[in-house]
Amino acid sequence: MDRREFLAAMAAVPVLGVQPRPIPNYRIVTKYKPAPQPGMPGPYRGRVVTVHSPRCIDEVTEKVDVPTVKAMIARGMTTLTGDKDPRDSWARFFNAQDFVGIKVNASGAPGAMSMPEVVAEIANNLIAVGVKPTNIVIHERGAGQILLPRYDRFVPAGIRVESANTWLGLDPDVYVEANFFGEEDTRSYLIRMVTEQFTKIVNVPNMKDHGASGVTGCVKNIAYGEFNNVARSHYHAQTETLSFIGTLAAVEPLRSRTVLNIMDGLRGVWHAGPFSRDRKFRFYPKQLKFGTDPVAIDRFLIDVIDDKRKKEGVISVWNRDIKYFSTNQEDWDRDPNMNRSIREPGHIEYASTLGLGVYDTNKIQHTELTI
Amino acid sequence: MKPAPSTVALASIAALVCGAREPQRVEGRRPLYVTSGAARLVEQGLAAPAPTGAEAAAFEEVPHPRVRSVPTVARATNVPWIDSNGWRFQRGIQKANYAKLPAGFAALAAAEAFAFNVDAILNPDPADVEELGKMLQFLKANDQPPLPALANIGVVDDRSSVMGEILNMLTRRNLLYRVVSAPDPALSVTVQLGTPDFPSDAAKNPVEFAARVRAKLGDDNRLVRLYGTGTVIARLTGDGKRARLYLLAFDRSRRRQADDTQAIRIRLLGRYQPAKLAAYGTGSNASLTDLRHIGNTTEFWVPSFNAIALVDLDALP
Repeated sequence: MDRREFLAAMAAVPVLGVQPRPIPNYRIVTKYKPAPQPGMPGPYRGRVVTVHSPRCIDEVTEKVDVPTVKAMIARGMTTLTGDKDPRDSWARFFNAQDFVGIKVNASGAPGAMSMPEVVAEIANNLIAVGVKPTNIVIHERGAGQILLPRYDRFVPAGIRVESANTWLGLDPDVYVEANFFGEEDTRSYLIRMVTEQFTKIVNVPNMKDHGASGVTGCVKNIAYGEFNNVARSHYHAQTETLSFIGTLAAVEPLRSRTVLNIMDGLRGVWHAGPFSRDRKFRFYPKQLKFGTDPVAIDRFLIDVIDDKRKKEGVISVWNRDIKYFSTNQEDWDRDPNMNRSIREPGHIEYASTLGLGVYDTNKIQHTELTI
Repeated sequence: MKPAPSTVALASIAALVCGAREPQRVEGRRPLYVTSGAARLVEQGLAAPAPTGAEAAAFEEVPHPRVRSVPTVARATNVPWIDSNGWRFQRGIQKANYAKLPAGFAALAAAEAFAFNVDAILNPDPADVEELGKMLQFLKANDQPPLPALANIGVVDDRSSVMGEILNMLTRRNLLYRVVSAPDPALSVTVQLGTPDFPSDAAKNPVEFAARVRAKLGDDNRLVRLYGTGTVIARLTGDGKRARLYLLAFDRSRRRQADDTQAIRIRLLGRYQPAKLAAYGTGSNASLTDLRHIGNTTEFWVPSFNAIALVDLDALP
C-alpha cells in the first residue's frame, strides 16, 4: 500500500470517534541522497526476530540479568542474519571504519528507558567487529534525561554519551517544514551528529505506550529523537503524529544510516507513556526484538501494548472516542481509560506507505524464540 | 528648532548642581529617562532624569513587557503569551511611561523602548537599578542612528480596540507592518477591516485574524522568520544599504540558559552580509553561525541572549 492508497483507505473505512486530520503539506529539505540500499527497511525487510527470556529482568528489583541479555542479543542477531557466529552477524552491518550512533530512548528514565545493560552489550558487539570505542556515541536529541540512566557506567571506556545540546547541534541544511496548527516555528531540524558524524545508527527504542502516537517504538524513536521541535505536533487533542513521525524517519540521511533496530522489551510502559511517573503502569514483556525493518517491529509492538491494556481491562490504543479524552493531565496520569490526545497508532502503517517497511502481519516473517 | 540661550544656561546650571551628565545621544535616537530612584544612572551618563510636571504628563503610561503562561483551550499545556508594547508604539505612542516596573523587568523595558525608538521614562524597582545600568551601558555602546522601519504589510488603523488587538497579534507574530492612513501600493498586503480579504467579523478572533494576514502574505514573503522560539519579537530596520535587526526576548528564563549557539534560526527576506552581533547577556565571543544565502534570503543562527540582541547587516547586491 502506498501513501495514496493509505489515504484512500482511511477515508473509506469508518472510524469510530474523531476522524483523522488531512495530511499536512510537508517541505523536506536535505542535500543527502539515499544509499543504494537504505538502512530502513534494509536487507531484512518484513523480518522480525523476537527473543524472550523469563530470566532477563527481575520484576521486583528491576535488576537486569546481564548474561541472559548477552545470550538474547547473540541469538537474536544470528537468527536475523542466519549466521552461526554473532560476530559475523554484526559484521554484516558494521566495520572498523564506521562511526556509530546508538540512538537510545531515555524519555521516562529511570522508570522507562533503553536499559543500560542492553546498550552496553550492543556497544560490546560493535567493538568486537572493530568499531573503535571513540567512534561510538550513545545519544539523544535533547540533553537532560539521557544523563539519568548513567550509560557511561556500563559501557567500555571511550564511548561517549551526547545530545545535540552538547555536541554539534542542529544541521541548518536538513529539516522538515510544516505548519500544523498555525505555529510560528514550522521547522524541525535534524541533529548534526546524524548528518556529519555517524556512518551508521543502531536504533534502540523501548516498549512504551504513548499518549499521542499510541505507542512509541522504532519509527518514533528515530524520528522524534533525531529531529528538534517535534512536540508541536501533539500540543492539541488531535495531533499530527499520524504522518509526521514517518515523514521525519524517511528523511535522508537518517533513513539510509539507520541500519539496525533492537527494541528493548525487558521492561515496558502500558499507560501514561512515554514517561513512567507511576510504577503501576510498568510491565515486563521480557523480550528483545531484532530487525532492520522498523515498521515490522513496531507492528508487533502495537500488539504487545494493546494486549496488555486489554488484560488490564482498559480501552485500546485504537480508541478514538472523545468521551475518553480529558484536558486534565491528572486524569490521564491516573486513569488508563483516559486519553490526553486522540492516539495515532496508525503512524506505523503510514510509515509503511513511505517505504520504511512492512505493516501487514501476513507478510512479515516473525520468528519467536525463548531462551 | 534651537533652544533659547537662557534654556541652555539653565540646563547647564542644573546639571552642575546635580552633578549629572546629560547622556550624549546619537542622531535620531530618542531619550531614555529614569526616575529619581535610579539617579546614579543619570550621574553615570546612561540616562536622563525623568521629566516632571507638564512635560511628564505628555508620557503615556504603558504596562511592563513580559511573557505569561496561559492555558490552551485543548489541554493542560500552557503556552507563552507575550505582553509587548510594540503595537502601541507602532500605533503612534512616542512617549511611554513605564511607571510600574516590577523587579526583574526594567532592563527588558529599556530594551523595548530602545528597539522601537521611543522616549521612555523608566521607573525601576530598586533591586533592578544595577541591571538597568548594565543594559543602558549595552545600548549606549551599540547605538547608531536609527534606520527606517521595514514592513511589507500596511494596516489601516480605525483606532478601535479590536484593531488594537490585531496590531498586538501582528507584532507578536512578527508580521512586520506599518500603520497607514490609506492603502499603500508599495506594500504587499493591506489590512483594512471591512474589505473582502479582511471582513469585520474576522476580527472577533485576533489570533485567527493574524493567521489570515499571514496566509495572505505567505510565509515565503515575510521579511523576518524566527525558528526555535515563540517568545521573541523582531523589528527590522534598514535603508537599502544597511539593516539592523532588533530581537527582543521576553522569555527571560529560557534566554538565560547557557551558551546555546543555536537558540534561534533567523530567516530574512533579502540578501545580507551580517556585519556585527551585539547580544546582551552573552560572552564576547558570541557570534552568528551557519550563514546561508538561499535564493533571495539570508539565514543564520543567533545564540542565546537575554532581553535584546542587535544584528547589523550590509545589503548584498
